[in-house]
Amino acid sequence: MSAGRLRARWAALTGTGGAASVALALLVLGCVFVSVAGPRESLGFRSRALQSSLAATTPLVRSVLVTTSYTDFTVPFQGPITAGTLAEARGQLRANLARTGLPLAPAAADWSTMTTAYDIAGGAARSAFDGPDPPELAVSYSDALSRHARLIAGSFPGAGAGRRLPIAVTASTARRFGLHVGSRLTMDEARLTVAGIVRPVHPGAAFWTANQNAAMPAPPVTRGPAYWTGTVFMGAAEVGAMQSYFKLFDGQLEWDFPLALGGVNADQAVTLHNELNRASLRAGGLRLADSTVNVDVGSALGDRLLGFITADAALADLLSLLYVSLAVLGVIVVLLGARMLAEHRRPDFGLMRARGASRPQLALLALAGGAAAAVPAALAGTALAVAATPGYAEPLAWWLAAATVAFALAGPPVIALGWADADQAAGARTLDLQPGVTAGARRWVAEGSIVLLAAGGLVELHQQGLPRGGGINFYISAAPVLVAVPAALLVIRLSPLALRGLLRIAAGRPGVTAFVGFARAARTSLAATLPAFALVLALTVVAFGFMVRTAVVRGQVGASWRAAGADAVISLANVPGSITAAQQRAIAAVPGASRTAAVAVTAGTRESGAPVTAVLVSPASYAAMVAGTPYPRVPAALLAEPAGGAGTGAPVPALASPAAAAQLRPGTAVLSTEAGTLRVRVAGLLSGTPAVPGGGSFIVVPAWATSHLAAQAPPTELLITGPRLNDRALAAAVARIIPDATITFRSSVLAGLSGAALPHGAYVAFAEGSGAAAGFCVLVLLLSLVLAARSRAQTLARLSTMGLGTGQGRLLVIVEALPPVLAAAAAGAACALALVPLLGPVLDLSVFTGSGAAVPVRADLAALAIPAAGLIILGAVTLSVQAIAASRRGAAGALRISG
Amino acid sequence: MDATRGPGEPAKGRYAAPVASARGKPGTPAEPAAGIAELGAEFERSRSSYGDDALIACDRLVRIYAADGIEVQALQGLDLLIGEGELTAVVGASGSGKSTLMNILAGLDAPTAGSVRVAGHDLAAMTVSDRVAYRRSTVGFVWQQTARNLLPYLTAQQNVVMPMRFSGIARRQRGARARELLEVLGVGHCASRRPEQLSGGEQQRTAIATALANEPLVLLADEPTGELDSATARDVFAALQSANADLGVTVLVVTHDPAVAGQVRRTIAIRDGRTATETLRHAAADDDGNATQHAVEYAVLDRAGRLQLPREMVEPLGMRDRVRLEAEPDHIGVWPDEQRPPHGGRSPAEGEQ
Repeated sequence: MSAGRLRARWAALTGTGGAASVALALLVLGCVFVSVAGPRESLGFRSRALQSSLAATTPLVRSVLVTTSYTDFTVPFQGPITAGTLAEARGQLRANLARTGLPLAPAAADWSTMTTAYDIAGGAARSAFDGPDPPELAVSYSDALSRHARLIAGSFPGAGAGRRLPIAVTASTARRFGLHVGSRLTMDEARLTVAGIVRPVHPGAAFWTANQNAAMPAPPVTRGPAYWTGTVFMGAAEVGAMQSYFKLFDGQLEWDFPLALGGVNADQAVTLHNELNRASLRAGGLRLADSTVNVDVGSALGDRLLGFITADAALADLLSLLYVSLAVLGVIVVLLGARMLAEHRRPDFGLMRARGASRPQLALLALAGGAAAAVPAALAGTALAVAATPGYAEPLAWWLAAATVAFALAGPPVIALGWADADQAAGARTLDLQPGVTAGARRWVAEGSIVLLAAGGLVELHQQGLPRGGGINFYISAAPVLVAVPAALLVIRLSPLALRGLLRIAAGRPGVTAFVGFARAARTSLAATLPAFALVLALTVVAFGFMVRTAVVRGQVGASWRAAGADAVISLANVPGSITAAQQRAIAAVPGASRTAAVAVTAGTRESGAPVTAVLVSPASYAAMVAGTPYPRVPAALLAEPAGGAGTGAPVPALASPAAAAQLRPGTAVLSTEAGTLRVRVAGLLSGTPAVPGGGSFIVVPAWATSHLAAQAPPTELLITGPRLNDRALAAAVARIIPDATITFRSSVLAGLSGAALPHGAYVAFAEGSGAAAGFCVLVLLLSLVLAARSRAQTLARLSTMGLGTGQGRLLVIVEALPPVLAAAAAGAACALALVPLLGPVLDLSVFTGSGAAVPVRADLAALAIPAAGLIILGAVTLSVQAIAASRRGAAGALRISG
Repeated sequence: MDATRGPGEPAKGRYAAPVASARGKPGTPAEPAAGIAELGAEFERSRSSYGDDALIACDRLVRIYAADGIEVQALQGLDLLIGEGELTAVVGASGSGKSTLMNILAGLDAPTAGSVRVAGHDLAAMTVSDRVAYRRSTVGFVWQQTARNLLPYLTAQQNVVMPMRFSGIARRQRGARARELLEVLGVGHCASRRPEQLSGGEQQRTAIATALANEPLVLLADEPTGELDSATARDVFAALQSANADLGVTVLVVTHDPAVAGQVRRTIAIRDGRTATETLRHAAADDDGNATQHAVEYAVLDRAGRLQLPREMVEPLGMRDRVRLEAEPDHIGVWPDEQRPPHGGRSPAEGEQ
């Protein structure tokens, strides 16, 4: 189709609403993009976090391990085990596991093994003795040895002759026990010959890690370091001989089934966890040779998944705060776009109706016009969203996109038919002589019902709490909407009253601008119910989201202080030596280091024998350093040295944590430390202190108290604060000055907290969601201003013919259109404030800090003021631009439209 | 003329409207006072017979708009009869109710009270689907604003075709009909042009063609020449005359243009929502045998017996508030109330009785 025909087709479909169609297309594109990209991105970051968490585990964790003892297996089985028995059991277990729905890796990755108990090995291996007892070896048969091991000498063990049994050992085992191909070992009555030496293909594979010393010998913990244990491997042909010669009553049978977890997304984590539970309960039954054998099925993956699921659920609660609100805002934006399109086409539809178009024909024409804009835009939005968020298909995304398109398509026909009905009703023969009274009463009843429903819904959802088995928390999801509904209605009801009051004031003053502006505002404010609600809701979400993000950052910063204690901590705690005054001075000279304090953190005991952490500090420098942290201030004066010095025998003043103070004897208590025994007196309480960031039972003692003791406790830690501390320079200085010290940067701790895969992804998604709400807010404002622009331009034109100046005109439109925006901004801020007590206790933000410490959401003036101010400024700028455009267009143009 | 026919005449017209179901209920227990029954029967007789042979019959038409608690009575009991094939002009001051009347006749608005029948359709009793069918088959409409008559993104031919598409006329038929109409109205050469490429006159003639597309019985034109210069206005009016004469369409034109009003045989003046006067024109030969137009203005005596006296007759005589009537054998004399001062504290009467 040529460009000209395409243009003609577009014009025929969209009629006079060409520009509005383009605007609707852009809105649909944006909404569909958010609808598709939002859920996909949410699933994407959560799934990436899950995959990252899974990747950090060992292959053994990522598999299902089935175990049983040789005895438990053979008693019901009543017969010797062959390689075929193990293989048959493996096949049945795999089928059992597959029935539970577990994502099993291909069958080729499964393996089974039979391992004897350890037995004393003699022969060549005795050359590896370190003590009097010989090493012990386990003999293992595995059907996957050749897959998991590479032969480096000899051959894989085949069939033996008589009691001479061929074995394979790993290179590490051979090295430890001095074995080589042809070496001979004796174990009880069996004689073993090393047939081959192998090397693990992947030493970290479950095959090699399932048994402690399959790959390399290990000193047995229970018997002391001198006695080594190892594993040797036999071939399938010797499975029978194994049962004849070795201690198998303590032997172990294992089957391992690796899981294919690469395709598991976050939404499937709960299912996977349930499948693992189901497998452990149901997959262990075997039917072998008319016997029923039960084995134990388990996986360490379950615990890992549970940790992820718990954190994910907490974050899902937070993100669910945005779901319903964004959906409602998207629908309102699309409907406003559809209304704009319908408004532009109203003359078309009026003419068509007059020329005989029926309601269905009119609806079809409106539908076709909307579809010409919405469908290609939706396809483009979907394509862009899929391109921007590759990898994870989220069914919710398609439902949201379909709903967006449905609203965009349904909007113009419904609005056009509404006009047709309204026109028809206007000519109704029954004249309501008091239409205002009836409509007003209906409106009061409707609004009262809506407010009651919203309040009831809020209470009911709060009482329901989190749905059983997880899922979306409807209370959190719906709360912003349920709070915004009554607030918007209140604004819509109260603002005309306020405007009428302003109108009365303006009427008594000179000048036309305020009077006309307030008069128009008082008349039109009721008409904008939907945009007013959308503005209130969007501002609520943006402002409350701002507070939540502030709380998260505050919580993470607090957690970093609680983890590190200071901006940087240099420690010699685990190495000999102490931090000297010269070293402290050199570190204090590093750029950005404002305060330093050297402390000795020692283990102490109270008279009762209970442990207490004793911190020896220089009171002045420690107090100065603590002042740069959020920890409670240290009253240095309370720790001051008495006039006679430490040798006077008076008890040493100390500051204790509440836990320590509760257990110290009132008055003077005796404290044993590495520096010696001190008589201390609790001079004050400290709820926390940087030298013991983890808290607990601690006591801060002035260093001068130990000066007279024989044993000294020199400083082993140096705490540094400074808001602009140069971490790199400090690390270089420490490496140069105190090379044995370890250094902990609070910034690194903070980066670790804020950069953790799941919380970081959730934080970004929440910020993006809040941004989308802000975007919707801007769109709603612009659309509502654009929809009323024509009427305002006509008013300006009429007034300009009466002598209204350009500046006055600009002021007039601002006075007329800004009060509803101001009211919406105030209502949005009030709703956000209301959400603090409603939702704050329900949201668990501690998942962002990696600790159990509560992270409360607090009312924040900046969070309330910044979005509201932004909205008002945007509204004022837009109105000014409209006024300028109207004045440039001239009165004649505007009045021609109205004629 | 039909409009001069008194009520109660037994003529049964071609467009007799179906009797509304509310009228006359056979079998209803009939024990009301005999006087009331007779009055009711008389009322029904007068209603059912009024304008039965007219194509357009408005009977005590009332239209009240209520907006923001303010009522505006656009039509206040208007009576009007238009016969089939007439070309009639409607004149009146701004706000007199002309456009409201046209919208009601076009099926775009419905009356608050009274009845209106067009070609047998009772417009006040029509359902939504009846109204759509009425717009498709019975009336065509031309507005004053040229831009309001045509869809700007369609060519002239596509605009003419549009009403036929709504009516479900076959593609071949509607193409041929559109070309024919455009040719008849002298804008055949504009078929493939869009409205912005047409002059004002061409736009209005295309609009007339569009209004005639579904072969309506009535063509309503609301100031079709209002935005045109005199020469173009003449052309457009000629197109309306052509539609009336050649296609047999009944044409009702609202106009402010004296030149237009002067070219029709019948001009109805509306004042304050009621028909005030009618001017009838006929050709006659003068003493030299030349054909000349004679116009006679009649006051309209409505069905309630009210009469509006033209202001230009009333004011010179100082008639206001009250006049004296004297019944004569062949006429009624209207005299100023000489007992009252010529100018009082109240506003001058409109000469209405």
